[in-house]
Amino acid sequence: MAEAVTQYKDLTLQYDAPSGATFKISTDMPGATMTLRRTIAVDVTVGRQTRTWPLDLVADGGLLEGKMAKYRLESSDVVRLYAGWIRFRRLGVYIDGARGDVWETQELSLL
Amino acid sequence: MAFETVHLFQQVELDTDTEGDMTFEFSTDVPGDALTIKHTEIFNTDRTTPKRRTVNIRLPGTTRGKVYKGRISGAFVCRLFGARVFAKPIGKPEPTGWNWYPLPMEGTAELYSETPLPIEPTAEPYQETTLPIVGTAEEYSQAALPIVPTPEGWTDARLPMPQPGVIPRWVDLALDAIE
Repeated sequence: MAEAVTQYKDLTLQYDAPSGATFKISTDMPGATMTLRRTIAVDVTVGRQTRTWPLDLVADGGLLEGKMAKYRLESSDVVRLYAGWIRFRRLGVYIDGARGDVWETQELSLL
Repeated sequence: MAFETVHLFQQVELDTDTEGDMTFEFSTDVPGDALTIKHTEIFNTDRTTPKRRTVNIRLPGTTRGKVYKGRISGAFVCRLFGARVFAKPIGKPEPTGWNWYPLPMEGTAELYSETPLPIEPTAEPYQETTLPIVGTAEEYSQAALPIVPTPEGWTDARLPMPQPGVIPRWVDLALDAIE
């Protein structure tokens, strides 16, 4: 039976980056291997600010998905990271056919 | 536990989003009293654009049974948000008796939740800490200078002169006689 997978909607950071930064998110779906899925260009700021970036794919609007996620922030200059949030929802049934997942009900009967 | 009433199944509806061809199989136990696949259909919502949509799978008119089962398989990713079957008990007059019956499955939350990233929090108010500076006394205090004190009275000191060893006296000198 396919296990529940998390869909990530958007990312919010409260930060101060005089030269900007890059935020990378890796997840394990599809394929069950941690792979870089999103690279976000974090804007240059003057002082502490809060920004939000969508995690939809521009091409087809598909959301970032995975059972696990890893986050990485890189910059060539100073970044003061104060807080961050990510919005998500649990996906009921995710069938990864390439890994042999199937979805199947039990034997059911109607009254 | 299966019940005696045989139901007629008309269609299955899937709320789904696929990335390729997936196969849906519908099994019932009538005829034959054993669960066998009565209908197989390939469906695909296509992922060129956001394609969560409802897929209707029409079942053959003879699809019936007391027990039924659904199965989805394939070589691609499929996200299943809901599934239900349209059925009615055999024997009830048309058009009554037809109802939608949801297939049991894990639901997907309609609203997004928020979770914080694992970032060390920054203290909001500034805090005070003392620097390692030795404090300055408010009042002056006295300290003696390193000067050797001058004694009040005089003391004798011998001059550094050598002492004569013999006391001098007059002596006659031998002079030549005068002729």
